[in-house]
Amino acid sequence: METMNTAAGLKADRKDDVVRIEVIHAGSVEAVVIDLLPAADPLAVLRLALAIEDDVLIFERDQDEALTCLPPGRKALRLVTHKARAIELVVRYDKDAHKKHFAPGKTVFKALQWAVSDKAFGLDPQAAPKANLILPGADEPLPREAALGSFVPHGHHELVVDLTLRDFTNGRG
Amino acid sequence: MAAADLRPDALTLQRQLQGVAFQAGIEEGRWSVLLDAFPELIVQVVGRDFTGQVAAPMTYRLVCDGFPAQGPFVEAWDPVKAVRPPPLVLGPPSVVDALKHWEKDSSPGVYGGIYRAWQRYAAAHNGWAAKRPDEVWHRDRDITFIMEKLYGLASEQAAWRALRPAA
Repeated sequence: METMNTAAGLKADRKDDVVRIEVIHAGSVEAVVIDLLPAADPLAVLRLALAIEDDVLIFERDQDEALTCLPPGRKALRLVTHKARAIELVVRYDKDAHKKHFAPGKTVFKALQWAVSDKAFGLDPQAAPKANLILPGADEPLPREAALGSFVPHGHHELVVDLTLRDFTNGRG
Repeated sequence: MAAADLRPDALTLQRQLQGVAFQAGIEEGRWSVLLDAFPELIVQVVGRDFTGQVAAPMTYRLVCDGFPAQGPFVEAWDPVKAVRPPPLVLGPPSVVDALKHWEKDSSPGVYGGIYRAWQRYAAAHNGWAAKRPDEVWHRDRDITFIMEKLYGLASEQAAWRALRPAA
């Protein structure tokens, strides 16, 4: 891999032992970024720094289980906080509905992959790639890269969405 | 070259490449940088199906001059031959459509890049940017926005392959 000296310079600006963390709180798509210095309990430091209450769980993006410690060796992490250990996702499509529990850090994209699979609606290979998840009554689909927890405020644990095959490509949606 | 000597567009891109979201994507195995030679950036993205068992690596070339005011030009890339590969034939309709050959507006014969609203030249095509502001690039976005879209294409390809073990 060829890299620029500048990239090395920018890396050198950071201490090797710092873990940089992006946190998205329940019900929000806005991220907070924080640098964590080495500590006996980095998660406790994170909770203190961002005023995350004890009953709020911390998930790594797209992972199933809440964190009890930071994954070893990681220098950059994207985390999602939520009081619910799991969100019940209800996907409606064609007078039918399927439910599944997802960790709040799971992305819309992962949920969509499940919804179109034979574990849920079993869309055929022509239809599946057109599918999006959309909040009832919304004009635009949920951003696939967003965490499900972004759409479920604290105190709630259910998310109802519609599966749509509307063609959103080329502005035709 | 020191960071202070860089052009503003190169410096902004480098800062984003070193940012949390982009670096986390590398650590998660979603993407890697094969070549970083501003304004050119070649990345490999590894998409996965829902089970995570089927992977689809795809390589892309980004041209990032004018970043971030101007979004990257993005095309599929063959890193061995250092050329854009032929349009994808075996894949889901959405990925085939994104990687098809089309020509940018007012430039007959000039390939327009990945056919999605977030891509530099496609954004201006058919007023796409105005119709899908949620999908279009703007200067407040991060390069990871593009990477997530590329990861999505690769994952759609992986899901398609999972249904066709022989493909």
